[in-house]
Amino acid sequence: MAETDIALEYKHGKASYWIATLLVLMVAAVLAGLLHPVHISRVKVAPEIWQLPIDALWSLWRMFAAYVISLIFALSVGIYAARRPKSARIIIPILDILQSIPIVTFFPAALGIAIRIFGGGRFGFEVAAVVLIFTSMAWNMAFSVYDSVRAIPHDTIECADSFGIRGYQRLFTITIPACIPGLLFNSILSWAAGWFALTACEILPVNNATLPGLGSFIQHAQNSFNPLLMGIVGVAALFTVVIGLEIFIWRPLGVWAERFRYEMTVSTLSRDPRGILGWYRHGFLPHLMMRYIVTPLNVGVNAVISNVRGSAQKIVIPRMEVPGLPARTWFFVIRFMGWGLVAILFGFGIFHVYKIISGNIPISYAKQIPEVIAFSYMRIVVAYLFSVAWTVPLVLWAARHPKALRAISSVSQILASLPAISLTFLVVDIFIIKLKLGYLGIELACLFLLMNGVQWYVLFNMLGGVSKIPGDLIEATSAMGLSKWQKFRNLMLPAMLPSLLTGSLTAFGGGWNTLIFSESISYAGNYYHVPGVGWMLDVASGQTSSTLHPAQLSSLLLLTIGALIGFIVIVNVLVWKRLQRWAAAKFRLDY
Amino acid sequence: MLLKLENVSKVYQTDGPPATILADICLTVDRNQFVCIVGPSGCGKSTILRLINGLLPISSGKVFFKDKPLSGINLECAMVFQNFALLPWLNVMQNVVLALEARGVPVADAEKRAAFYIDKVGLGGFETAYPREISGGMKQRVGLARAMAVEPELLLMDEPFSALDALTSINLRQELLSIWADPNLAVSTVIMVTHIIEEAVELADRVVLVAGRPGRVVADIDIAMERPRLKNCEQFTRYVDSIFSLLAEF
Repeated sequence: MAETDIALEYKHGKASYWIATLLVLMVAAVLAGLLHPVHISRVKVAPEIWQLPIDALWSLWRMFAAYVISLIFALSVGIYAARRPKSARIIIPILDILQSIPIVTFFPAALGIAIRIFGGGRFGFEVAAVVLIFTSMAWNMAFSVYDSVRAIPHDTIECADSFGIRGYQRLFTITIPACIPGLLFNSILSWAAGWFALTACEILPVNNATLPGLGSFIQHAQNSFNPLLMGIVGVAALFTVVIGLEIFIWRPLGVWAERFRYEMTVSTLSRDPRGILGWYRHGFLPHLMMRYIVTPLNVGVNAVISNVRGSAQKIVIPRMEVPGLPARTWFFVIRFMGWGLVAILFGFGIFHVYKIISGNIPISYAKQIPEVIAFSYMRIVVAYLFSVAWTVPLVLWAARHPKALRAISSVSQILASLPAISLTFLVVDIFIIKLKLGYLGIELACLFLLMNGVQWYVLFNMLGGVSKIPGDLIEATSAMGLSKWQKFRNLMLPAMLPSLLTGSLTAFGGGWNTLIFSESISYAGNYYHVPGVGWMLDVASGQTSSTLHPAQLSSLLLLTIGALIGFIVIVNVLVWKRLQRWAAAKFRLDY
Repeated sequence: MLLKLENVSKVYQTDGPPATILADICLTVDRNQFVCIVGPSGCGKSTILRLINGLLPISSGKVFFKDKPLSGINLECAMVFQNFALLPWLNVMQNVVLALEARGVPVADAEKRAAFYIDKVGLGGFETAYPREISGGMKQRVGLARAMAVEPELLLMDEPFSALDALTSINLRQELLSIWADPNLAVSTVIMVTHIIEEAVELADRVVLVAGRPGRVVADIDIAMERPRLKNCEQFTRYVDSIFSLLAEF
């Protein structure tokens, strides 16, 4: 998660933060108006092992599609916001809110909307899945692009101006290269979040079918002859895919991305002296491929692009002369129309919400909403505390051992990509069936799964924070003879506090996401749950048998989602933003 | 004899063949001397300081401090850093006190000593200021106060004025000399690394030239001039010229 100066932005634009919240709620209301009740059923299909490679390919295609869309989104929005500070004042808070809300929990709703638009077939399902994965990937990448573009040294910009580097040339030679290191780090994080969203989408059956993929394979394993074995096989397949990606894509990309850094120091986290990149550069097979496939392809593509660019630059866009009224009046009219449109949308949304809710509220369920939110929040807090308890000491220890640091970051990237959902079966098997712990077992299972969704964010942000401690401060504290404890208290802890805070904020976001899948689990015909928001959402999306009819379900869903968003935003504003502002001001490393 | 380096070398492990930064450095420093180490960039001058302080391990050779071989960080030296190395979240007083705390000085005494040295460097009244609120010259004075507060036997300075503007440096050089000459203050021996030859000739009793890749001691020149030294006198210019011509071959 990029460390935007969200806290400082917030200081200048409190009003824009509330406007942003309002905008998000309005869009949510409008979308709610399009809600179509979805029949979600239990599917009893046993998976076959030979399906695994195909399933893996289906899962991968969804991830890539969502990633490409996220990339385009991140680059467009990030660069746009970085170039126009006024627009940024609205865009950044919107992204911030979207990042904190557990969008995956709205998958049933998203499905409903997609079905309304695309019809009930497979295509709508796929679209909904890709959109959902996109929403788990895009926000932190957009922040990263925004940060990177703003961090381009002023000298470079002046140089570009004075040499007349404009338009496409500037975009491709200066702006985008500046984004690459941050984008790479955030892509890895995004993919980890994406795997989670992917498995979440693949688990839900709609109209008696699920999407083919690794997630559904693992989920359906419970219907096979040996649930535990098949489940483990599925997870192993997922694991293999993730490791493969790490070795063949992320590592080499990481080394390549180093050259785009503006700082003169090399990050210890991505050095790969003799590894796969060496093989890429010198191995026999890659050499062949380079010579006969890649290079000719490169030359061809370059020729096409330069032709297009050449002719594009010859197009002169005439300055628009708007007749009649002066420009200021036109601007006023356009802005007025824009806000009018927004108000109309808002009206529609409210109307639909009213239609859904009025007369349909299942009181017995609805009045439990506040207390389930409280329960869930407490669970996340506990998971968060446990996560901090092991990640912080580990990172502090590893800060002094660069090799360990690298190992930890690689291993944790892989482990983080294993979505907690895929482990539900294992967890249920151990805690509930084998150990026979009853209700305590369910809570422990939920805690274990929650921690999986929370701890990686804390760990990654702390790892990022370690590399930000300036070397000469470390030297100075060594030279002064500070003991380990003194160094920790005076240097490492304060220096990493901003990263810890950012990590905590995203960790809580991840926690809400994981919650829905941790609080109610169905395995081998049994349904286990603990009271919480996840369970409530399950009920409201019709995944558990209850005595409510569809209209009531929709209104319950809406109420729960609304209450959840409200709660999260309030906690954000009251707690996290304040903390971030304080930390950013007191612990800035540049002076 | 306070410090002695015998055939000290430093080798770094890299991806390719190991890189030798320093080779066969021999250096002897006596008490009450002001020694400047001069040389072009990249020849390992700062590395020598870190070897003396114990921040980096020696690859071969021996370092003797007060006739005892060096092991680990040498707490009887104190270093002043090129980029100040102040903790941004501590104010001036807290930064200086930190160094004393590390030596186990009780808090009340630490604050008294810190206040004394902060005053000595001319920052009286700025004890509660944070690093981002003070200028570069003031930051380096804090660094100096912090180093002096622990009353070290040997003061190590790593290009202390190169991050400051020319006028501030001129002032700070004079102040450094008066602090060094002051018998009431603990600072008696100084080793300073610099790449500005005039600065070395103005301040030092001895100028040690380190040059080449790997860095070696090329010359050891005594500056036999009385202080205060006038920068436009003929003797000064001759010293500077001879050092320049010695370094020109590298």
